[in-house]
Amino acid sequence: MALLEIENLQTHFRTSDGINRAVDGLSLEVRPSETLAIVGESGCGKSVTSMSILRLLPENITKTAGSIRFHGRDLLKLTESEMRGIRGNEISMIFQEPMTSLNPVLTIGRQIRETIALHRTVSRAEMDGRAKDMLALVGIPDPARRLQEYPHQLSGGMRQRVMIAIALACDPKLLIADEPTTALDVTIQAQVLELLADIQAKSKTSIILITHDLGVVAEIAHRVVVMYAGRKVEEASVEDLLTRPRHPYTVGLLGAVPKIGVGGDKMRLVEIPGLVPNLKQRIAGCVFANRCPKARDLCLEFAPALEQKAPAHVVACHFAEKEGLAA
Amino acid sequence: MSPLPSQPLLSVKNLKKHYATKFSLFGRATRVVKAVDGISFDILKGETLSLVGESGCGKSTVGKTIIGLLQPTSGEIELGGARIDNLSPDAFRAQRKRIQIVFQDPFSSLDPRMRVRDILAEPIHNFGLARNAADLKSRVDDLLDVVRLPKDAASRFPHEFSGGQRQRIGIARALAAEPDLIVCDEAVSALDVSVKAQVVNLLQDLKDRFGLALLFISHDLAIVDHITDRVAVMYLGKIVEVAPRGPLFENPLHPYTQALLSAVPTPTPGRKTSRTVLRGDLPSPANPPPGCNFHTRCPLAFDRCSRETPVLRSTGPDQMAACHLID
Repeated sequence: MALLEIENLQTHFRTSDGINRAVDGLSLEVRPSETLAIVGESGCGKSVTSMSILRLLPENITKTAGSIRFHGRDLLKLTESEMRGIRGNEISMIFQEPMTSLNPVLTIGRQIRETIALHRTVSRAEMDGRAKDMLALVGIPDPARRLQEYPHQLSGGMRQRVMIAIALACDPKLLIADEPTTALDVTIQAQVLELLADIQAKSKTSIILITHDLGVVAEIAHRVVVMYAGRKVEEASVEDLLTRPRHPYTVGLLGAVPKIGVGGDKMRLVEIPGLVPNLKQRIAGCVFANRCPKARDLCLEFAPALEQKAPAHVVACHFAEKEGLAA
Repeated sequence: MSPLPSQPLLSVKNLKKHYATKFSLFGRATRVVKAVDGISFDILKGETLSLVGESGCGKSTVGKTIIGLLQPTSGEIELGGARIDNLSPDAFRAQRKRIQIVFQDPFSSLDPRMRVRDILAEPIHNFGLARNAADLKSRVDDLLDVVRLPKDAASRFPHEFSGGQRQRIGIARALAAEPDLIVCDEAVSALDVSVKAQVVNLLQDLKDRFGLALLFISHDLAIVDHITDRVAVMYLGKIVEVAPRGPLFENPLHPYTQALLSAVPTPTPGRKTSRTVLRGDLPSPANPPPGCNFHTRCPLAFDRCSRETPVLRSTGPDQMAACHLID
């Protein structure tokens, strides 16, 4: 059974010049102890999806519909206090900016204890022990000393490790990592990705990894959902998606990523012409049609349904061929 | 005197940029950050040299010193055989036309209250390149055409454009002065994958069309592999390896280059087995380790590395590395 099931999620924002359909009919599931990557470019709705799961969006301008079932309970129907019991406890989140997500005037120890104190009834000594264990788990040397320090005394990579320690302090079932390594240098990124993979192997936590970087996806994800303009356009296992992409957008994205060693002299990158559509206007046909090399009249008129085109491979494209399926 | 063909366009000799961060009672510097600590390189006409390294390695400081935004602490910068680092502001103005820069952030590097037309006209006007108003207009139109923006862009403001389009405006502004060299300081880092590919391809075309030399400052090795002729790898203010693109990516000699290359995630499934994950963080440039700067994180370090600073030595045609292992 899936740990998290999102069905037909719609997150729309009221803005001064119309409704922004940031997420428009998204369905996906996260299975126990798997890493699901949600990939897409800025504005595709990947971060809004994660904020919708934790209900961190401003409620006065947001309209959410559909359902997000976690352990069978619909998160969208819970009261705010029930939601507080889930955030940081059963579902926790790592944000992109390790520089701004920690409170600069509180010690690291205090910030880890805060999460534990909110969700567990334990003594101060137990909390300290737990905080120290968490820092050791995320590979911070000399954890006892670091607990007394403030965020500015740590490097960017260390701060992201502290964020991970806070997120894991209550043994969550689901960890949402929103661009966890985007702000880090490559050598530090490699360390953090290795850490996330290790933690998952040890604690069997499910991870939703939100990223724009297909290289990071290849590194630690099991399955991938590709989002474009608020919708899911393709979903497959990581091997399948990277070696046999079927949606023209995914094909374009993979071609646009420069790869070391295949560059050669003056090899051109694949360009995806044009721009992401304006989400404030309703799009009748396929959301990618205006940039798609394969688009025909059909694509502008009818939105393609998400269909299974190969085993465990779902694509929303009129022209994706079926393969390997029993007739 | 016309420069000989073999003479480099830009020659940087033993460039240093130190910042004093703490002073004694009598104003003597007691703590000095050596952001750039004695680097030398040449750029030939029409050549692309990439400066790569992690945050804080000094690569952006080098770029800013070359275009005269920062004064070097010591060292020489020669443009076409004549020194430009010790010129008076007036004398430097004429040289500034020859070196332009494209900044990283397309949102903050354009004046929001100027129309695109005026943004592009400013350098043309400043350097007295246009004969009359009609010439100015046709130059602006040409520039927009060259960076593949529509003609009507001229009358619009920066906020009406996407990130990729703004970066094109930034590139057009750099081209407006008809420079010999453009410093691209992380010019594509802030862009989405598909847009990044468009801008990288554009830069390559422009370089071929105008015979421009580029100093391409980047942390993204995959992009560098696509665009560069030669690469200089920096670590804590020093160049640790310089090589043409082919040898650097196929046979990196310095352990830091090797680690940097192996840390880049590539969108091919399956985890890398031969990855060298560097331990620890970048040391502070205010307090660099003794001997080889890299020995604290180097997987191959031995006792000599902590005592003796390795110098750049030639290891092959155009290739140099600073490591005790290659003696």
